[in-house]
Amino acid sequence: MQVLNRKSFKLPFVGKDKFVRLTRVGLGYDGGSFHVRDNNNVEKIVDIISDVLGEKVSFFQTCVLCGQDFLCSGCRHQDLCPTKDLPLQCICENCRATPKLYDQYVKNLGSGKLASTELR
Amino acid sequence: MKDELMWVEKYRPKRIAEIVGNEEAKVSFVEWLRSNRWRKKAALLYGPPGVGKSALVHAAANELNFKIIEMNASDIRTEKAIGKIAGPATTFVALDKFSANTEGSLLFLDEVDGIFGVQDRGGVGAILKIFAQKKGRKEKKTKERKEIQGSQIPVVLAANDPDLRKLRPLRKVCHLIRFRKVRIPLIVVLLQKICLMEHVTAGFEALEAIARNSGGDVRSAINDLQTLSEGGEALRVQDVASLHPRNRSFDFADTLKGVFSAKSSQEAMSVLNSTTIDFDSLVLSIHDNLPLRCKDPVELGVAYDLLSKADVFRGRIGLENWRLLKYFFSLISQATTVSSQPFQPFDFIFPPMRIIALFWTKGKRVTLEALCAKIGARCHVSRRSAKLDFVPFIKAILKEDKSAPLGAWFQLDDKEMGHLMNMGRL
Repeated sequence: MQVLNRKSFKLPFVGKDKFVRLTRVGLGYDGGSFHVRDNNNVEKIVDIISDVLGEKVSFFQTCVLCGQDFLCSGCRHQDLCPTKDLPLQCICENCRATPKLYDQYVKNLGSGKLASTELR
Repeated sequence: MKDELMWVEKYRPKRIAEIVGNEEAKVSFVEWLRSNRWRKKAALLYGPPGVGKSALVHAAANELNFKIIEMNASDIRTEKAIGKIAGPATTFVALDKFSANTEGSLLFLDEVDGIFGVQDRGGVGAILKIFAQKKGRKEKKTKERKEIQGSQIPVVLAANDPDLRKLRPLRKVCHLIRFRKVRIPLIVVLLQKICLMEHVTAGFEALEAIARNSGGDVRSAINDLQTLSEGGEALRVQDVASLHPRNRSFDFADTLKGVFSAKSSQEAMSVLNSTTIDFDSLVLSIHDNLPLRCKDPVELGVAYDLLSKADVFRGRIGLENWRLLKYFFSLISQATTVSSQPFQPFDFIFPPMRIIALFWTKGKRVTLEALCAKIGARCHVSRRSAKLDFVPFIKAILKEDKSAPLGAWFQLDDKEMGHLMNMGRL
């Protein structure tokens, strides 16, 4: 299994057709490395990359609370998770034990990317 | 009841950050709302129910000071009704925009996939009209003339399935934002908070069990929690056992992955039983993807044989013989599990190639139809007869002599002449 980081990862030569398809479904290319630009078709991205690499692909998850990257393989809910291994945000095992988790979540999100988007 | 108010209403998020899950979608929506992109395109929030689509719109409007004009499934959404509300709202700037306390109005059309039937005739067209291009005079094709008229206020649509045929035109004028089922740890976090606020003693395992049972639907998880907590003082795992598991439906990606990666035909059949793809598209998709799964020609032959039998059953089912559906599913599940090789991930082909081919050749087919209509009118035959009995001969005559008076007699223009000369066999 190949583990990739959504922010930046490298792929072997994918060929013109695959490259065009990857960029169309939401992968960004930035001078040698790829990144997930659009999450709408992320399953399609995973399928194409799996096809290119010839093995299963899994993405790191980002913890909403501590910002750490972690894998789904350690999670006890992975058998039921509908978005397993997709590059989305979740809560890592360490942070799940934090008291007042919801307040922390709201605080982090309120002061994070949502707040930093430019005002009109 | 402890409380008259439903908890889903009582704990409806007031701020964007209070909505759990779908962080990427939230950021995308807020960026769209804060930029000027909403003038050119509406936002189409789509995803399964209970994941926070409507909650995000209300929370964002509350936080960013927009006044919501909402039309949901309980309203009549004909072209006239939408035009009456959306027309003035999206064309003129409301006076309250100049007030310091508000950013203006926001038009929210909830459950747009429910716009159908005679009651809602022309509803989708009315939404499209808001973002229709301003038509300039042909001789002045400057950039200014081509500019998009757009809307004066943000227009937000919410739907469960944007792939529905009736909603396809909307995709072109919408910024798509996908919502996914909320992950279990995030639902647990919210349930813990509600328990704290409601003074409900609940074990962590019990909350996890509720979240797991909800299938990523926050609304149903909160409803389950409220129902169960009314029974006694403390909520235990044993209490949660009485909950019925919620039905899980598979979209095209899940269905194709499920049937091709299944280790047995029973496993594939259970996926097929919960699929949301229509059966004709399913047969075509399996047909396109079989060679990617079965590399051995003998196995591939067997798989296609089973698929052809499944297609026969699909035809027999028609619109009424649904008792035959089990045979259809059984044959498809056998076809997809023929390969003895372990499943290797591959890039699934969807939509089916046949549908893509029809899409790409639509222009040619329209030209041919127009051409046949002219020939049919001139020769007093049907369009079908013109296509089958006349077109091949006219093509042969014109190939011999391009300047033959036949083209002028049929009143064929240059495009139609070109199409006739270059077309392949019918």
